Amino acid sequence: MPSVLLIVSGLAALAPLAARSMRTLGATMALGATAIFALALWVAVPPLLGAPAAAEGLWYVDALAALMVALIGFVQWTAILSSVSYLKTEVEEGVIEFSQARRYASLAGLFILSMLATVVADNLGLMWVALEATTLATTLLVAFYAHKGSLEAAWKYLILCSTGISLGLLGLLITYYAALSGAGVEGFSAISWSALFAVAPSLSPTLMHIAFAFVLIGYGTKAGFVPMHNWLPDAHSRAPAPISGLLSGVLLNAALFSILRYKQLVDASSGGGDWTNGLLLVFGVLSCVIPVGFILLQSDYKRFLAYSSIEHMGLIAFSIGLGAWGALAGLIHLVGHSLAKSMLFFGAGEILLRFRSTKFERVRGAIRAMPYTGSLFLVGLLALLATPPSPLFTSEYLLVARGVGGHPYLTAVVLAALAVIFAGFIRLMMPLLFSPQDTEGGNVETGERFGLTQAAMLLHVLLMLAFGFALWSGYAYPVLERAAILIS
Amino acid sequence: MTLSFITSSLAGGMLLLGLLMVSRMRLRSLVGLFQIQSLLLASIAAALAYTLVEAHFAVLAILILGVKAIFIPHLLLRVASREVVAERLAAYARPTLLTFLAVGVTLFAFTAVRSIPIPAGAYFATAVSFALVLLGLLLLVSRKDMWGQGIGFLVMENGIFTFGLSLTHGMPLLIELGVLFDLLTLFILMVALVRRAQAEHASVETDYLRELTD
Repeated sequence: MPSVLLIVSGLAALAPLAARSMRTLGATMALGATAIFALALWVAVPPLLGAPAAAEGLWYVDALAALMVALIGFVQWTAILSSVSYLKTEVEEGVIEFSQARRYASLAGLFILSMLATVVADNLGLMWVALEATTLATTLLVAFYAHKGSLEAAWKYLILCSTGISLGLLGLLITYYAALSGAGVEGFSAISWSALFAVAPSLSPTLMHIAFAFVLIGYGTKAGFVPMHNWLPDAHSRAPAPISGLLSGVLLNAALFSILRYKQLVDASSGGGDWTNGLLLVFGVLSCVIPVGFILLQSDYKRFLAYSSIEHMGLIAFSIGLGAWGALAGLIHLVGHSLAKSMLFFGAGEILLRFRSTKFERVRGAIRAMPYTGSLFLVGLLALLATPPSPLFTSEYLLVARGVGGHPYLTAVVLAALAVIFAGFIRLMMPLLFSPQDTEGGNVETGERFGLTQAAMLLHVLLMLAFGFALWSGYAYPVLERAAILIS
Repeated sequence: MTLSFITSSLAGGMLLLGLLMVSRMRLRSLVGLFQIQSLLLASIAAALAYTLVEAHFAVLAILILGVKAIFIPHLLLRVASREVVAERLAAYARPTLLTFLAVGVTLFAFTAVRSIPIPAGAYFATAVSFALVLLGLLLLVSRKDMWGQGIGFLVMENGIFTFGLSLTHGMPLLIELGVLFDLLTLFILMVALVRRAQAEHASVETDYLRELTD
C-alpha cells in the first residue's frame, strides 16, 4: 500500500516536466497533490483507527507513521495548491521563467516523495537515504532565486544537514553492529526496524546509547535543534514561501520522526526511556531558549517564522522528553505547529508578493491591503501563540501539567521563554498587520481576490479548529494515544 | 595475513593520509591525497571480497573506486581548472596548528573507542574510522573555501565507510548503493553551488557567505 503512494508521488514529481504552459503545469501539480493526499489518507487512516501496524517488506506503517503520513499528505496538498498561485503570479510578473517554475514543481515533487519514504520506511537504511534525499531535493529550492543570500543559505543547508545526516549514518552502523553482535540477526533484518524492535532487549545498551547520541546530534541537525540549527533561519527564509511552509511544517517533523524511531529501539534495549528522555529534555530546553534573543531582534518576517520553528521543535522535544503523556502533548504540538506554521508561511508568501519585501519595516497595514490573507494570517498567528481553541493550547497546557510535576525548573525556563516570544510576536507582527501605511511607501495596492493560497490557508484554519474541538470534546485522544503510546 | 591485519594496515594508511590532508593548502594535493585514501578504502572492500568470497563486496569495491577514487576527484579538478580557482586555499589557522589539532583529535578518537564494547581485533580500524570522521569535521570547520569544506565532508564519509566495512562488514548492498548514490548527487550539487559562487563572487571563499547573520 505505501508502495502505491510512493509510486504516485514519483509520477507527480516527473509529470510537471512535460508541461508546456502555466495552466497545464498548475493543473498537473494540483492533480498530483490531490492524488497523493487521497492515497495518504488511504494509507494512514486504518492504523490511526486501530488497525494493527501494516508491515510489508520495506514499509512499516504503525499509528505514529500513519499520523506523519496523514500530516504530510495534507500539508503537501495545500502547499502545492498555494504554489500554483504563487508561481503563476511570479511568472506573470517576470520574477521567474516558466522553465524555473517547472523545475520548482518537479523538485517539490521529489521532496514530497522522499519525505513520505522517510516516514513509511521499515528499513533504517532506506530511511537514511530518503532523509538525505530530502536535503538534496530542497537544496536547489533553497537556492531557487538569484538573490544574494540564496547561495549562502543553500551552501550552509547542504553542508550542515548532510554532515548531520552522515553522523546519523554512523549511528545506523553502530545499531547494525549491535544487532549483528547482540542478537545475531543478519543482512536486511539487522536494519529492519520491526525486526530490530522484536529483538531489542538483546541489543547492548551501551552500543545503543552511543548510536542514539550520534543519531540525536545527526538527525537533530536536520530537525533544527540548537546548537546545530544555524542553517535553518537562512534556508527557511530564502526558499520560496510555499516550500518554506513544507520545510518548517513537515520536514522538521520527518527528521524528528527518525529520531523517535531510534528512541523506541534504545528504550526497548535499555528497558526504559529515562536516558533518551534526558537528552531530549536538554536539546528541547536549549532549542526553546536560544531563539528568544534572535526572535526579539528580527527584522525579516520569514526569518522570524523560521526561528519560531526552532522554538516549537524544542517544545516538541521537551514534551516528548517529559515522558508518559508528555509524548501525547508532543504529538498534539507537532500536528498543531505543522498546520499553523505552514499556513503562516503561505501567507508570508502572499505578503511578499504584494509588498515586495521581507523586512518588517517595509510592511504595514497588511490587513487593510489584503483583507483575506491578513485576517487568515492573524488567525494563524493566534493559533501559533496557543490561543484556545488552537491545538497548541492543549499541548502547551499538557506540557505544563506534566512538566511541573517532573522537572519544575526546566518547565519554568521554558514557560519564561514562551512568554518572551509571545511578546516578541505581538510587538513585531501587529504593526505588520494593523499599522496604517505611511503615505511615502503607500503605493501598495489594496484589495485582493480570494485565490488558491487563501483557500489553502482557510483549510488549515478549519482543520485546526476541528482538531481543537476534537481535543476539547475528547474524540481525538483515542486516535492520538495509539501513536503516543509508541514513544512514551 | 589475516583479514584483520589487512584491514588495519589499509586503515592506518587512510589515517596517515587524513593527517596529511589537514595541512595541505593546495587543491591539487588535497584532491590527490583524497584519491589515494579512497583507493585504500576500495582496497579494504576488495580484501573483504577476496577473503569472504562474496560478490557484493567486489561490486562495492568497484563502485567506491569508480565514484570516490576516480569520478569525484576528476570532476573536482576539472571544474577547478575551468573556473580558474586560486590554487592556494585558505584556512582559519596555520597548517602547523591544524596538524597539531589533527593529532589531538586522533588521540581523542583512539581513547574514546576503548569505551565501546567491540572485539579487540577491531579496535584499530574502528578508532581510525572515528578519527577520520573527526578529521573530516576538522577540515570542514577550518577551511575558508567551499572546496576545502566539500573535501572535509568527503573525508568524513570515507571514515564512515571504513567503520561500516571494518566492523560490520558492510550493509546490505542495496543500502550501500543508495548511500553512494546520495553521495554522488550531493557532490554534484556541491559543484553546482561552487560554480554559482564563482560566477557571483569570482571566488569560492566563504567569507562572502556571511551576510545572513543576526
